[in-house]
Amino acid sequence: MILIIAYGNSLRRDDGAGLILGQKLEEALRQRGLAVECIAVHQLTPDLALSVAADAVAAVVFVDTRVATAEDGQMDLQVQALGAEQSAQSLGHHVGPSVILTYARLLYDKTPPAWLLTAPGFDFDHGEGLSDAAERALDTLPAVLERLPPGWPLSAD
Amino acid sequence: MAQTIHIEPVTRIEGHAKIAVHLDDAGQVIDAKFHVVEFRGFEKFCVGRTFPEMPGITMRICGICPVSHMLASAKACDAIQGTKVPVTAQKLRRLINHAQYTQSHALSFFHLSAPDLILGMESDPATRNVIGLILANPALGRKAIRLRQFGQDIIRMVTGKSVHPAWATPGGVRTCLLPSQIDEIKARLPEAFETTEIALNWLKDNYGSFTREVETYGDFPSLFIGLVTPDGGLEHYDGLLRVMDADGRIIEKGLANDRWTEIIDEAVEPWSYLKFPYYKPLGYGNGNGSVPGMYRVGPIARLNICDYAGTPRAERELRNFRRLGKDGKPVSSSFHAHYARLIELLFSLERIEELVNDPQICDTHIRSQGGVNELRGVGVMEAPRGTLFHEYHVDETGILTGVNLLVATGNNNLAMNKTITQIAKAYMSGNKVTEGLCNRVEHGIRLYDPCLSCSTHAVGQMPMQIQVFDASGALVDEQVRD
Repeated sequence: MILIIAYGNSLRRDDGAGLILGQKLEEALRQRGLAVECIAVHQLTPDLALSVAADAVAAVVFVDTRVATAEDGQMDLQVQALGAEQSAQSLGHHVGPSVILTYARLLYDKTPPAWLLTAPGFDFDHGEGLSDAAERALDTLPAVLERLPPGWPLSAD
Repeated sequence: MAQTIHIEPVTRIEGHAKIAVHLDDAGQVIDAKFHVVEFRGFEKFCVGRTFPEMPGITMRICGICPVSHMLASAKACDAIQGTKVPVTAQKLRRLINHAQYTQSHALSFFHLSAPDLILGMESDPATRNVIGLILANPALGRKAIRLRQFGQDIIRMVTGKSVHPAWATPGGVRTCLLPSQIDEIKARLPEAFETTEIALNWLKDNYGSFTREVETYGDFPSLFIGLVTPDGGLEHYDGLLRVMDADGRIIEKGLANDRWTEIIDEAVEPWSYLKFPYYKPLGYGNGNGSVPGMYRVGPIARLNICDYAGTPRAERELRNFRRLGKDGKPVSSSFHAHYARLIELLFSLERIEELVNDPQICDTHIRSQGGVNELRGVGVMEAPRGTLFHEYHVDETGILTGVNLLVATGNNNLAMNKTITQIAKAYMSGNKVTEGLCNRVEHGIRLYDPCLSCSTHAVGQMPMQIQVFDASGALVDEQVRD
């Protein structure tokens, strides 16, 4: 089973893009015949390590918004591999995905393939709905998935 | 030469903030200010919405205490409707509130504060985090995670799996609890009690190691404010407002929630977006830094002001807790918030046990219907961090014309500033900010477990930055913690 963990605040405009993108990814992977479970949360917390460490989990995709600007030209969806060995320093109410993976590895000896899929965020003001640029980026998900290796997210091959 | 030292952001608290330490000409600490730089715009955002939307909207303010906002909001909406909330709905609301205390206090103690307590305030910052704690004691790490998950799972069971379920609604709640869910909660309670007792015993066994911290981490006289039951018991969901002074005298015995503005006013300082509430009858002072109406809310305040806990295990610990007060006075050091939090965790587990054994918990009458019968509604809750006020004003069609949210972190603002001043005075020497001092100041803030922005995780994340400026404003020292 592929576990999707989507997070963000839907009252802070593009901060909620990850939540919508998580739903879209869930639907797309199901259409490929894959077993998927999607967890939507306001922010990552340590107990999610238990979900990651569940026996049925074969891969994990964290889905988030990243801060982007039109100037930096990074207007697209981005996918990167994650590992438990990466940063484990930002601890607290705001826990990063690598910290969750570190918990899963240290406490439960579980190291599933893990990925971070991010949507670009431009507008983090109070309010609902996404910016046009974030909306456009979310619409590219099918094309992004087509470009990824066929085994993704279960493997990088 | 007078100097100002900035420490930013404070890690392991919700939101971002910076700390400025002010030195006098002799290099001694004279003051410290906790700057909150993110503006909270939710009050404006809500005006123009319909009041029944508010529980669902306000719970999206915060990822750590959404249940408190949802329930305070629902109570304010109950007041606008003027309807009586069915007994089972009240019990279900209490159940998820205690579940939230479980997850929130577990997060605060095990994940945010325990690394400092167990690994040492001045230990290597590379390992002074929960990963270091796990490596030191993986069994306790697993228990801590399961305790927090227990609270979260109860909330999910009751409210559904949606990220922001508008479960509490004006007049009641939307869904019942199933017998199978009650069985699951009962089955998991023993481990939750065991983990909490392990933490309590560890903390009590090690109190001797923290003598100086007890004396310097926010040990000062202040008022204490919170809710109590009508007969003075420990209360988290409903009840009356009580105010106690630093000597233990009760100066407000039990004020109705909707009269809260008679005793609390809010001052504004130009250097912070967070307001500075104070007890109105004693005033804000003359601006020289001493505020007669300064008060604290939260775990210590709640345990100080109540006459009794009302559950066996928490009652036993409350008696021990009271011995920490000097000369029969209230407990005054904010360092004892760790102990108070664990006592409340125990209290919540005991209340959860009572509620799931209550035959009424599965009744299906869980909501009363009503329209707009009052144009003002007030909902007051005890959030894990302290007293939370929601006040709404509506027109006759139910459209919100005014919203005022006074959150627990705001209530503790004056006390947090006083705490970091005390810590800086005790541990700072010279004009250099050491890792140890940084972490002690941060720990002082975290004693209040504040939520500051409660809004977005994506903006503003940055490494810790420490800056030292001299009297002319020139940067004389800077440290960045990646």
